[in-house]
Amino acid sequence: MPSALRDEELMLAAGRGDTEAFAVLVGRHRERAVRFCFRLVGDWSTAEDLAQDGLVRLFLLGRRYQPRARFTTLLYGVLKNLCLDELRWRRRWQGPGGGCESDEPAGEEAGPEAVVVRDETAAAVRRGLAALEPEHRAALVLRELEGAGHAEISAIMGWSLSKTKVTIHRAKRRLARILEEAMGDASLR
Amino acid sequence: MPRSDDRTTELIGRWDEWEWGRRPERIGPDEGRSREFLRVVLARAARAEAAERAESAWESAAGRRGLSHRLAGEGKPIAWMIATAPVFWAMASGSRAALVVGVLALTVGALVERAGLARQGREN
Repeated sequence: MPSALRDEELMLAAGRGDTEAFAVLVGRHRERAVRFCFRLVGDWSTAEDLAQDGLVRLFLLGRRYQPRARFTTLLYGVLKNLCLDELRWRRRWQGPGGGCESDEPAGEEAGPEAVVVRDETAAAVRRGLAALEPEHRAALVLRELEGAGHAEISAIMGWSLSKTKVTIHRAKRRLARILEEAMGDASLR
Repeated sequence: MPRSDDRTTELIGRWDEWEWGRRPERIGPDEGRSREFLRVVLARAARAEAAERAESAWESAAGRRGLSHRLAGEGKPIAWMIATAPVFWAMASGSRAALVVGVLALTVGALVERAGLARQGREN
């Protein structure tokens, strides 16, 4: 029964042409993949497209797959490369922070003041993340939102452990400064 | 951990939850949406696999192996002999022009080999 297998076993089975095993893998990681891509590129349509593209690449990689690391490390690595390509393309053609606006309308279920504050906070964080270097944003997202450890991030990013720690620290500092300027939040000083 | 780090973490987390709450319906946990997503992934994977197979079949059928493949892999000794021939010619003739041509040929050969190795690396 494929659903009882571990990710690495499913990936090996997918490499042997077992599409049912690959279907279980996609079902298991679909939301994670789309959400991770959204955290990097900032719009749901592109995130969904990149997640699909990433999973296609994993399927094609299956024949040569060797479970040396956790499956999620490979998944994040493939998705990160696709998202960074997308962000670099946007930067080249749209300038820094290009395309960082969310593609969905804001919800209106809360009161107008709460919506304004929430929108301002969200916009400030979105702008702050978009202002970071794409690779720094990826490392910060992996640490803060995906809950990855430094060793896993260094494997995903292809950096040394010390570079990983320093980069995440600097990226977070930079984001804090941007948020402080945008929101005037005393607790960020 | 400094206070600002906690606050930044909190704000990123709030932004993330807020955006996740506003995600389009199609990204939700619905079984039908998940099947549709899978259908698209499998269709794209099948297309990509077919394209890969077609490219490799075309390459082997047409014997489409460029200079870079020859300099980097099969036929390497013969290709390099041809590329270095102008150098020997220059040494034999003592011509400065031939020496320039020889050095250029070696440089181009090295660059092409590098490109061929990179390409083989990607293919493997």
